[in-house]
Amino acid sequence: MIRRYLAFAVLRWSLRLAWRLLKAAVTLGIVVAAAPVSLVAGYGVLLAWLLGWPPRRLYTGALWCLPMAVGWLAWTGLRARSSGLVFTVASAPYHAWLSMWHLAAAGSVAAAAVTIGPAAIPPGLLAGGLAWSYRIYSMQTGTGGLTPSAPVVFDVRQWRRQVRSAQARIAAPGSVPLTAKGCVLPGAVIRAVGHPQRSVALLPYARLRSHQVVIGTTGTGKTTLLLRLWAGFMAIALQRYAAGSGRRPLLVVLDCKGGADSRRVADRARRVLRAAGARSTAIWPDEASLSIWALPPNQLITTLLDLVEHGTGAAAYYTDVMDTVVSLAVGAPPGPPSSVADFTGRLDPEWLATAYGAGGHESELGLLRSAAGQVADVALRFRALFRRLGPGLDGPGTLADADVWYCILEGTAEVSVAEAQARALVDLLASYMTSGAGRSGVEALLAVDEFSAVSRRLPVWQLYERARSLGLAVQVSAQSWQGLAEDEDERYRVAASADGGIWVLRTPHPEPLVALAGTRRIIDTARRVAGTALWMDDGSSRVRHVPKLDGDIVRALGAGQTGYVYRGGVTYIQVKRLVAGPAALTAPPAVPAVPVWGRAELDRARPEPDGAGGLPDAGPLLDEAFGKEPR
Amino acid sequence: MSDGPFGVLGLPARPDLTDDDVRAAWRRIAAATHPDRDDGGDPERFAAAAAAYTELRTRFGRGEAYADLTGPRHDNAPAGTPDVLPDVTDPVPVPAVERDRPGRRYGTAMLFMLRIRRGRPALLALRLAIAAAISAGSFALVGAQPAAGGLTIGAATWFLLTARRDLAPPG
Repeated sequence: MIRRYLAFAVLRWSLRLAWRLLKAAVTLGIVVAAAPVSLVAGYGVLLAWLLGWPPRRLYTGALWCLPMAVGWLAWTGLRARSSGLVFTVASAPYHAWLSMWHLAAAGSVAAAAVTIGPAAIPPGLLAGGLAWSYRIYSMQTGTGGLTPSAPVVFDVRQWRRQVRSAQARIAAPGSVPLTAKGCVLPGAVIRAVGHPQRSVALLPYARLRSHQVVIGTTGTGKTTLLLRLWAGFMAIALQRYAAGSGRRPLLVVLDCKGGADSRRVADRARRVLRAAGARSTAIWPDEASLSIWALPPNQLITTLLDLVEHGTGAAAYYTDVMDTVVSLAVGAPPGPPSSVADFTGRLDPEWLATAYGAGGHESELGLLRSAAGQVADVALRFRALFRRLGPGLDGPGTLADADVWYCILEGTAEVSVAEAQARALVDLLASYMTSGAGRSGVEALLAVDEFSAVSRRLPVWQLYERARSLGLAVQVSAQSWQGLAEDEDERYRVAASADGGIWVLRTPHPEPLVALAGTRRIIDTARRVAGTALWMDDGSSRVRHVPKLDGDIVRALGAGQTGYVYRGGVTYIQVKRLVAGPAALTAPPAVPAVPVWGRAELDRARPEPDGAGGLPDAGPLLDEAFGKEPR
Repeated sequence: MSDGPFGVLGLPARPDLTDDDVRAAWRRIAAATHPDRDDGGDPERFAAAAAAYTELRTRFGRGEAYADLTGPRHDNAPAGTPDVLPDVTDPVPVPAVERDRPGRRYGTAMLFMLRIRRGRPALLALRLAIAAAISAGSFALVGAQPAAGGLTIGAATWFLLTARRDLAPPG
């Protein structure tokens, strides 16, 4: 019995070995017979392996070789006799193959390669693509490789090579333009999971018109990405506007970090956006101001109350008192206030009594009598608030004055001030969008950078809900998931509403985003290892769900690398830096007759009060012509 | 590169000028060139200075004018003008209504030469040399055969597809 079993086992082993040898021999025969195709395929696979290409790239290469094959066949057809045209063309690959072997046998290897080239390269690249695709598949499913760790090593190595290829691509000056075919091109694709595998990422304009979230820690290239998205938005929107198919774009950036760094970014943004076609960039509050007094009275009351931080519990009483006083001041018969001075001047019981004393305002006078004791306190709070807020919200100026408003909020130095400013600016934007000018003529993008600085009092998710009907898209960026909002519910609300996609740069806690990106099904194969890391033939496969966004990759992303999560897929992108032009000014001035003055000369050149100086005093003349000069 | 309105007022092109600096420069030029002067002034220069003052009188205006000057390098920038930033300016499509097109000024051929010069001319030349070598080598090896023609078409296709990466973007 044992002997018969052993004989059966030996027979089975022999048959398996024979079958394997037969398969190997047939494969080897085909590879040798089709040596040129095999060589091209091998070269293609090697190239794809070394450069981290997806199989699609080899397929595309094969497709682009078709003109070569067609040209070769056409020339062959032209040389053939008309009677045997079809046969000659159809048999051209065979004859080329035959000639190749003859030339190779005669030692003319180069001539043999040229002879078979047009026939071998397209199918070779196609075969290489198929082989590379199979290799990736076998590694992903765990059936490939010589050792158990092979799939992991393969994936890590391929990521490294894909990054290198993407970096080389963005280094080429003409490979990643800012826009193409109505899409913004953020950079070169490193890897795509669940998205089409392209060499360059394409972001349709409609996504920029939807809400987006950007998350990444400092130094990960967040500003670079944002600048590119803003410039792309501006460029495409202006093209559409010029073509009559879109409305005028308006970009409002709230940079909630503040300080010198924000001002450097503002300067860079201005130059980059100018190159993208923006006519003017207003930098608030350094160079331009807006007026909250332009808000409709009811909105103005709400905004003014929101600017002041209120307590809870017993403090609610004072909130109501403040509400009453502010309503009386704003709704007074002379009309809404036009400036901070006007408003704070109204926070005076006597002024209010006079304003409402003309008759017909008995209820308001009753309210005033009740709140009279608190008016001075309310005035004190608003005076302190407006002193801290500065003149940026006291006008003049409206959002219609510029294509881009870059608003710098000192969120790092003065959080409460930045929160109040952000609140007021968002209210101004919402009001502008609901007004006639904004509603009918503007496509706006509100970008809130370093959102965590103001997230406590800026309910962006409330804006989300009505933004679409206003024609307003909201883009929020934060350093971390926790920076998106105060509590987890709001964070999920903000992220889940980002129907334009989520940009993930390096962040130490990507788990919530990994969960939001979803999973994909893969086949996971377990094989038996016999002894020293040698595979046996048997094993089992099962379907497994793995996250589309790889948390470990996100934690290790380099500067300028990002994962774009959109509709159940992720595209990892190497962002191309958008560089403004040189700031060096080397050429001589346009009017050489006028000397260029330094600071000392400027100081000396200021007109003397008594008219002394090198030139006659034309002050009175100028004042008459251009108005009195303010001193 | 011109200093634009800064130059008209004789001011250095700097974003940190104050309102007083600009006003002082304007008043000085206006006093010297006003048409109501006894000598008739210089109306042309006065008008230019008035326009420049209008542009530069606010900090916002000065920032905008400075951004104009320091925007993407003009095509007629002197050779060797140093870049503060080492990268090349990214291709940015500019709406026709907003900007004058370089093609209008230079013509397509000149514009193409500029794109080559601002791109990676060495790599472009290398690509061209490879494509030419493949074509010439094919004909040299097998003569005027269909295979040589096919490879020439292939090399040309490869060159046309890949060369644009080495060209600077238009505009």
